[in-house]
Amino acid sequence: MTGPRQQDSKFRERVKSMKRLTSLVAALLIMSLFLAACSGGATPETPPTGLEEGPKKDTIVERAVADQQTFDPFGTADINDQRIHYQIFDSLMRQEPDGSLVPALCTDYKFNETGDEITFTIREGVKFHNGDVMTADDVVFSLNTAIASGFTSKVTSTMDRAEKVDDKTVKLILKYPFAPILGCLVSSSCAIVPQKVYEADKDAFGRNPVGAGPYMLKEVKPGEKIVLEAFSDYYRGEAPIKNLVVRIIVDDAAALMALESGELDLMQPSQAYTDRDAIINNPNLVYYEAEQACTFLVAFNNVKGVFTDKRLREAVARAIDREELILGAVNGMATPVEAGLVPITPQYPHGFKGLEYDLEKAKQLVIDAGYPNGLDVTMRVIAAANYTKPAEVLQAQLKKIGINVKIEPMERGTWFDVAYAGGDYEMTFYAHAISVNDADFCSYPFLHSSEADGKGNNYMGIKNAELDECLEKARTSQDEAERKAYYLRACEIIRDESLFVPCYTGRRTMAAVKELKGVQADPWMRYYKYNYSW
Amino acid sequence: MLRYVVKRLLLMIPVIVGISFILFVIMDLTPGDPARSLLGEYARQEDVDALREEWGLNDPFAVRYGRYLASAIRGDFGKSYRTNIPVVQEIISRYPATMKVATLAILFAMAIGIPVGIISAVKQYSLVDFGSMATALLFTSVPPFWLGLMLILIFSLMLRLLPSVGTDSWKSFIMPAAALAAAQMATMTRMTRSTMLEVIRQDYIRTAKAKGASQRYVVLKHALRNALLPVVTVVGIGFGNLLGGSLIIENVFGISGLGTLMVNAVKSKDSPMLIASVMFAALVGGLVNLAVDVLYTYIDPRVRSQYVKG
Repeated sequence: MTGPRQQDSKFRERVKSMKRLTSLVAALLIMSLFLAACSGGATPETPPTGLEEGPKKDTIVERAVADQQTFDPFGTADINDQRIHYQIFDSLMRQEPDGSLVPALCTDYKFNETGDEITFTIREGVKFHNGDVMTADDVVFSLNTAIASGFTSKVTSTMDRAEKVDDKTVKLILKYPFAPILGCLVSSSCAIVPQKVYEADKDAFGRNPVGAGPYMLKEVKPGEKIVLEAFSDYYRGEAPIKNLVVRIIVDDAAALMALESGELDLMQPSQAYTDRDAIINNPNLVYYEAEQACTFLVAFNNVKGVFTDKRLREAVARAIDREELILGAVNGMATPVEAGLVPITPQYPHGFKGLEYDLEKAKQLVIDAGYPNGLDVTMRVIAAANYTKPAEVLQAQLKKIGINVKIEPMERGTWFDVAYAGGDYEMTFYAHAISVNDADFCSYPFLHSSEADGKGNNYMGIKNAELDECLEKARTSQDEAERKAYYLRACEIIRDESLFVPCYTGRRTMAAVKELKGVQADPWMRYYKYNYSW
Repeated sequence: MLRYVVKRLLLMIPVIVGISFILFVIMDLTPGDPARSLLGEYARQEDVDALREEWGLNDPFAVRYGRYLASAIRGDFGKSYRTNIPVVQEIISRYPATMKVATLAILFAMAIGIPVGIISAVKQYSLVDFGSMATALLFTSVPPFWLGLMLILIFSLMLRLLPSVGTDSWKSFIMPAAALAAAQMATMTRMTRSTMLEVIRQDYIRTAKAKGASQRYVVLKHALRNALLPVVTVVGIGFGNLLGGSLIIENVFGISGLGTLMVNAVKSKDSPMLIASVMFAALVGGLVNLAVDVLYTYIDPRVRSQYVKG
């Protein structure tokens, strides 16, 4: 039996060791906090342990901002999903880094005289990841599946059906001639998949895709990482980068530190441009910029409410100082836009002048509209910084002409339900984005009367016969000069009627380690990794 | 005792059903169409309508909820609207990461919080006491995401010791667990200190000292066991919360856990995923609370005697 004294000495020993441990841990934690508070910028030296992803020069580790929903190219409209799809699948056409469209899984294409049928000669010997050779049946099946899908209408709404002509030839029949159709066929929504595998189990295909693209899916840790490996039988030759690891990191600050520490090679920086200086000032990193494929604008409800009065719309148009707006909303990281299209489209009328900034005239227009004491309006916007920050600047600018704006931020889904689809708003701040590099995509869906009244994307309820005619002729004409003329006229109508107020186009950005070659900031967010190398 | 455990388990059923009903109502009342959200803003109205029909969203509330309950009883909690994968499968694939981080965090918190609390109580008003209380206050005050970012800055970017993202190795769990543990640790330190201070002033402690035992022996042998009961409650509540997933820490460290799953479900109005994951979190929370109650009986003979009598 042990007495109290003996037990006491044992406890004393335990307490001593416990005390030492506690002091050590406490000291470490306090020191960590102190170091953190004192630390400035850090420069990477060696990569941290624990994240070895195979031979460094064969691998790219990049960031994704959201989890992958599906690998089925016909089962998503999400741009984040599609970034991976562009690595796994190929389509009939491809867009080169210089913007030109070239045949991909076809070798040739030919329009009929009326422009509503395209005959493709499919590329021979193209293999899918499972080793099967691509056939005309696969192409027809893929196009028809895309056309039937509810997810792909952005690029397939003008397609009627695909038909097999013979073993080497496929015909795509359109509902009507559509000038930007080849651009639509670049989209991963029009990817070519093996019919046999897709038909066997569509759900399984969404988890284990088989494409004809440069990369094959190797591993998925849902919500955490996706690993792709180069497809050795890719028809253009095996990709220089053999492994592609996509890590899902939602937090911008954490992603930046991962890039700085060497855990990431490539990342989409913060869209609020908060990390721009840190990346530019880091000698080991390169910050890439390009114009975004969208135009931010002030939209009015043209159907009901105070902005059915053109004078008030014009007053707003004349009261907006775009330079100030850009500075306040996006720290100057944008380019002013005066025409109602997206500037990177080939049809954009560069040099086009919008309504002149004129506060006195704007004030007079408000008085003329019957509001000598000003008026209160509500601006419903998506509750995200790229909409709420400009809304705040606009609020200050419009106050100068007597328009008191109350900003009502709404969760994105709610905004779409209430304002975009429901038409329950007075004015809003939104972006017209395009997925194909053609002015049709930022005009017809948003401005043509057939898309109004809840039938499509004309959420502003614009109904203008002349504008309709311009947009119809521009989308069906095969003459590029003629199309530009129609779009110029469309821009004039938008300006003269103040249907909406185009404000600016932002910057698409990308950051990468300097050794990585072939990186570009891609307005289309496709980021073909096939073009990358160390 | 067994009867008590069974009774508690049965009581959890109405709680879980109640949670599913409340979430069903909330998801039904809040604006936003999951079909539109999934198909995108350019989707044709007929495609949106068709998807709503496929998901049964056009049926009356009672029909939809009844159908959901009937399927849930059979173990079918539906498929995620976003991924078209059965929600149970999604939860099972994500939960291990949450559980690992939570378990490690609570172990960190206990390993440091309880001993520091004891020392603070025994050395009341000493430098150690002030230091530990100040640190506890700091850890309670700093947001976990900030602490997480600071840990990344120090241990990944500066010292190159730990990976900042993912769950590829055991090292990956250290920083997220530490960031989550900080607040729990602070609570445990303060709780242990205050309960210890109450206990060491009791008569039986004075008696033990009078018998000749040293203060350390008295504290650890006689006082600690009595002081542990409230601490166990704090540990249980903290562990239950951590097991429900932490969105912020998961986002900062690129961990795919229950928190991220739930928030993605809210954003996309993915009702089957949200309801199942919240029910799962509630179930885990309930089980942890039950475990804590059972643990009381082992720590405190007075509590055990109640069940024996019952």
